[in-house]
Amino acid sequence: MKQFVLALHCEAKPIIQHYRMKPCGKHGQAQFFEGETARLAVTGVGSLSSAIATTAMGERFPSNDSTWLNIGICGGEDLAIGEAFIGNKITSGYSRDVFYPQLVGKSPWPGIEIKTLNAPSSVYETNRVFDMEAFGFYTAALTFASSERVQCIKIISDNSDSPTGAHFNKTEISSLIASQIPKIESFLENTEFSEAEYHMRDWANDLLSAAKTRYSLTETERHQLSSRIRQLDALLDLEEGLNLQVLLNSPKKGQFLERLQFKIDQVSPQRVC
Amino acid sequence: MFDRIYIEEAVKNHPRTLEILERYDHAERIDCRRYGEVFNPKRQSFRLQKQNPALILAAKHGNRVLPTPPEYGLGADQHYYFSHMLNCLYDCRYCFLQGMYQSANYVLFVNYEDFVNDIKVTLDEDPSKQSFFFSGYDCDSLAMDKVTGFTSVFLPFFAQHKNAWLELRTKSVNISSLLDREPIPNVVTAYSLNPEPVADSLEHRAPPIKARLSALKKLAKTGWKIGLRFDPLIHFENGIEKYSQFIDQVFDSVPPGSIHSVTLGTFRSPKNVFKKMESLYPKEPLFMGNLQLKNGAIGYREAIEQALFSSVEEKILQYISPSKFFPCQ
Repeated sequence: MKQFVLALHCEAKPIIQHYRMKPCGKHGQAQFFEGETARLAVTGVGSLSSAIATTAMGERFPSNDSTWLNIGICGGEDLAIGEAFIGNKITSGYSRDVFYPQLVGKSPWPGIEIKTLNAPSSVYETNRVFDMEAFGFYTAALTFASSERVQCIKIISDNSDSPTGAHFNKTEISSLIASQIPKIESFLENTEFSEAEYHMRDWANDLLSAAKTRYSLTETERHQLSSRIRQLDALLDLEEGLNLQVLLNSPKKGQFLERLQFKIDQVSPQRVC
Repeated sequence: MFDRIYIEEAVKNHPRTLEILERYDHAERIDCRRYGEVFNPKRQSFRLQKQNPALILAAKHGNRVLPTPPEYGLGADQHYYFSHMLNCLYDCRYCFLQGMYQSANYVLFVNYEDFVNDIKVTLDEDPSKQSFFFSGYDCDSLAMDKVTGFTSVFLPFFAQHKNAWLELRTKSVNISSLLDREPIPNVVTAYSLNPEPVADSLEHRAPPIKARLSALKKLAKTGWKIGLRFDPLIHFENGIEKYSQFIDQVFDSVPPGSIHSVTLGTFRSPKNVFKKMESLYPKEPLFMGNLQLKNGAIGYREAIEQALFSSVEEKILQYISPSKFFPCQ
C-alpha cells in the first residue's frame, strides 16, 4: 500500500485524483483519503501537524508493507522552480537528530538535504532545501516502516529569485505536484519490495488449529508447536505438508511434538542444498 | 557500483576519501557527522539494503586491533584481528554478518595509517613474539580491494615486519594485487571453502568454487602461502561423503608445500545473531533442523556435529601434518 502524506489540499489534489481516492475519515485537522492501492493524509502545515497525522494514519490503517511518501513544495536557493528532489538527509531547525532515508533502487530524482523549519523563510542555503513537514513526517513514519520505505519528495516552489509568498498560487502548486506523478508511479513500482514476512500456508494453519484442539498444551508446548509447524511449512511442499495430518493420530501430545521435530530433522538436511 | 556515498566529517579531506570520490564521481555524496548516524539507527532493513548497499567513508577511532578469542589461533604467540571495513560484498546465509549490524551498507575506515600504527605498537610491545593479524573478520579482505586499496597499504607494511603475520580471509578471485607483486612469506591468503552444493545454495554472490580453486592454484604457483578454511561445515544430505570428495578436490588443486594452515569449524552462531538471521530469512532451511543452543550459541546437535567434524578432520589429516591443522570446535 502507498501511504501519501501532504500538507495542503492543493498539493494532494492531483494525487487524490490520480489514485481515485475517496474521503475516509478525519483526525483533528487531518483528512484521510483512500483508494484501491493508496491512502493519503492532508495534514495541514507544519512539522507537528504532519507527525500527528502520520501517526494517526499509521495507527488507523496498520500495514506491514506500506511505502510512506511525504510529497510537498519547498524552497531552494538557486534551484529551478518545478525541479524535484528526494531527501537523502532530513534535518530540522530545532533538533540535533538527523535522518538518512535509505534507497533500495534507483531514484528518478537527485538527492538533497531537506531542512524542516517552523516558519516560512526567504533566506535560503546552498545544497539544501527548506520545507515545513519532512522532519515531523519522518520521525512519525519510522514507527510504521523501515527507513527504506519512508521517503520525502520535494518540489521547488520558491527560490532566491522568486521568494516565498511572491507567487503562492494553489493551481500552480497542484500542477507542480501533478507533473511528478509519472515519476512517483515508476519510483513506487521499482521500489516495490516485500520484506521477509512470513505467512503460513493453509495446511500449516489447519494443522496448528487441529493440534491445539486435539491436545491440551502448556504455554511452552504451544510455542514449540507453532515453531515446529512454521519450520515444516518452510521445508515441505504442499503434498508433504498435507500428509502430516496423519501425525494427529498420535495419542499423546509429547509424541506428536516429537514426531514433528523428527520430520524437521529428517527433511532439513535435504533442503539445505 | 555505488549510488550513494556517505562521508564522515572527520575524513572528508582524507586522501583516500578524495581518491574514492574521484573514482565514483557519479555517486551522490552525503555528509554526516559520524558514520553511526547512518549505520546504527534501528528501523533499517538489512535485507532490503543488501540489494543496493551504499558506501560510508569513516574513521575508526580506537579498538582498531583486538585480540582474538583463544580458540581462534594459528600457532603464533599472539593473535589479533582488525577490520578496515564492516559488511561484505557477498551474501552468505550462514555468515554472522547477516545478523550483526542494523545496516547492510559498507563502512570503509579510511584511516589505514592508524591501523598500521596500532599494529606496529602491538608488535613493539614484545618484538620477540610472533603475532598473527586476521583481516577478514567483518568483511572479505580482498573482494573490494580495487575500491579500498587495502593490500596496497598493508602488504608493504607486513613485508617489512617479519615477526608479524597477516591473514587475508577471502572468497574473492580478485587477486591481481597479489599476483602483481613478489610473494610475502608472512602473508597467508586464506580461502573459505565449502562443497559446490553448499556454495551454490548458501554463498550468494560469492565466486563459484571452481573459480576460487583456480585462484588458489595461481597464488600457490606464484609462491604465496595458502590457508584453507573449511568453516563453517554445513550439515546436508550425504554431506560427509560430499565433504570427503571435496577435500580430495581441494588438495588436488593446491601443492602441499604452499599450504600454511588448514582450519575447520562447524556452523555456529551467537543466539541473538542467529535469531536475527532467522528473522531475515524465515524460510531458509539452514536455520531449521538439527540445531541446539549450547553455551549461548546455536550449533548442530552434538552427534551431528561430531560425525561431520571428525570425518572431515580425518580426511584433512590424510593430506597435511597435524602441525598445520587448527580445529575450532
